[in-house]
Amino acid sequence: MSPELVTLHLSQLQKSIEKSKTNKYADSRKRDYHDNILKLFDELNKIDFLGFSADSLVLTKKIIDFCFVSVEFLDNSTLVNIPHEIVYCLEKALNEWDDTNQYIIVTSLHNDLNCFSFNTLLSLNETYYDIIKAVFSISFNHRLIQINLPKYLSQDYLANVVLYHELGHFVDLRYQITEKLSTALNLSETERSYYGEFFSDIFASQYIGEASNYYLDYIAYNDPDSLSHPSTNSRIEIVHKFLSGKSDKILDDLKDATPKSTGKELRNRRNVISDADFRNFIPTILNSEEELHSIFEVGWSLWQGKISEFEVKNITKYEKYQILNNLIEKSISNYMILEKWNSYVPY
Amino acid sequence: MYLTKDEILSLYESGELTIRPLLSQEQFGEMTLDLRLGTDFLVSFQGREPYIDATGDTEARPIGSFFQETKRLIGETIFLHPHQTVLCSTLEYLKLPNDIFISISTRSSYSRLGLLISSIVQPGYCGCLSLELTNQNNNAIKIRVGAAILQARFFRLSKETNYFNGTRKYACQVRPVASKANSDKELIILQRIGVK
Repeated sequence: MSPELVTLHLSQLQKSIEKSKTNKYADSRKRDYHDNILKLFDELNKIDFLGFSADSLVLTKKIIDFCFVSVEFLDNSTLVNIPHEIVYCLEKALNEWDDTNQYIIVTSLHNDLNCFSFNTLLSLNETYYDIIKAVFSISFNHRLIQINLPKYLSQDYLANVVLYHELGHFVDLRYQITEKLSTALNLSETERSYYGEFFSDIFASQYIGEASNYYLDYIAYNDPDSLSHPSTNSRIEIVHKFLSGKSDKILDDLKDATPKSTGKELRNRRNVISDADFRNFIPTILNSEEELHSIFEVGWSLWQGKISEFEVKNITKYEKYQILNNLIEKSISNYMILEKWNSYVPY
Repeated sequence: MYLTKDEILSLYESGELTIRPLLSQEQFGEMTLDLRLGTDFLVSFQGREPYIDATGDTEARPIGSFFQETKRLIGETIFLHPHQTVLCSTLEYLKLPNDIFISISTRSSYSRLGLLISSIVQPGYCGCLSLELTNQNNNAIKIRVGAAILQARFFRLSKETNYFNGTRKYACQVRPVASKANSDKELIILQRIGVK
């Protein structure tokens, strides 16, 4: 790697930095993080790479990559871009597992329908943050939980239940739940991956019940065991068992290991609510976080069944899709509005 | 017949009229209901096309492409520039009884700033109301999301109607939606007449 190439890489970063400089965020922690990236960029800009060793150049490239990824996710997490309502629900779930206020959920939107994924780089890889602090004296107070999702589904509240599963991966890796379990049970790498996927499925179903299975059964229909993922049918089955309180070797291992690492139990964290309001074309009043998470289950069960109240009014399938999405969004957004309003009303 | 405060409250309390969220009982006036500015906006801007084609031409650029989406949280502010059209929604999701329609106008305090809205909402409508805000003032106006900028007057019809009988282009919407003028079926007939 030559100094010229690293300089080229830095020049490319400059373009993206300039474009994102004036981003507006609803969450001030993102601004704080972004300001640190700007400071880091300024420091990188002062460097003359000519005298750098090969190792230093490679490290610098990695730091620039770190900035690139940070800006990508921050750019996609402005108020207008981020799927605000569902991320709010995820933040509520996250706070139950980590109340340090250190982690910020950010999203990146991609032109790929199957891109749902979680990446550890900006949340759990402390090496970068340590190097940046040691070399540039810049301390980041927060970490970014990177979740990728398809651009065209960013406002789809049925598909986006998958994001609870991605958050499950973060919680697993943050507390090394399946990693510790893997050591204790002497699991192979594939078995460890399976445990990780099962954990994330169960984690999601604590909040959204069967809804976690519905979309999985569509996007990964009948997928057999692979090196990284257990078969779809086995994933659906373990969630069924968890929700119905049945026993299973892997499920029991995970239920046993989770409190040891996190101090929290894998348990039902939702409160099933009536679908009567949706049938009546109105958003539901949600009275608690448990009810907030349950709204996705209501949407899914209505989508999968016949809604006589809709049929009487000749609602088309497309209209049904739009109406359910709108009602889920408004139910969540009303909960958010009332939460803020009630915390400021002077009585 | 105009409905009075007691009648509007009675409809609300019986569940025949849905208002979600209702942040304050003070939104009920003697014969009106105050409605608040919502969080989502479509702001018009000038792009490559020289005009908005609302003739029903299937080749025309979608009307929505003349608007840019933006969002605010409750309590945040937004600027309305002179003569710029901004589409937004009410914060409240309403569902009206089948024999009640409402007339919407800007509250006097906002009319005096040059913000004029006048609209009718059909009986049985459900959804947030779409608002077409145009600042008639020569100065930009800064307003706050969640502010009660509108008032609705309620009227009772002599018999019930069915909102879902006809085309329902804007039913159950929760964000502002750009004009669907080009989906009016009559425009196809008019276009054929025009070609001849």
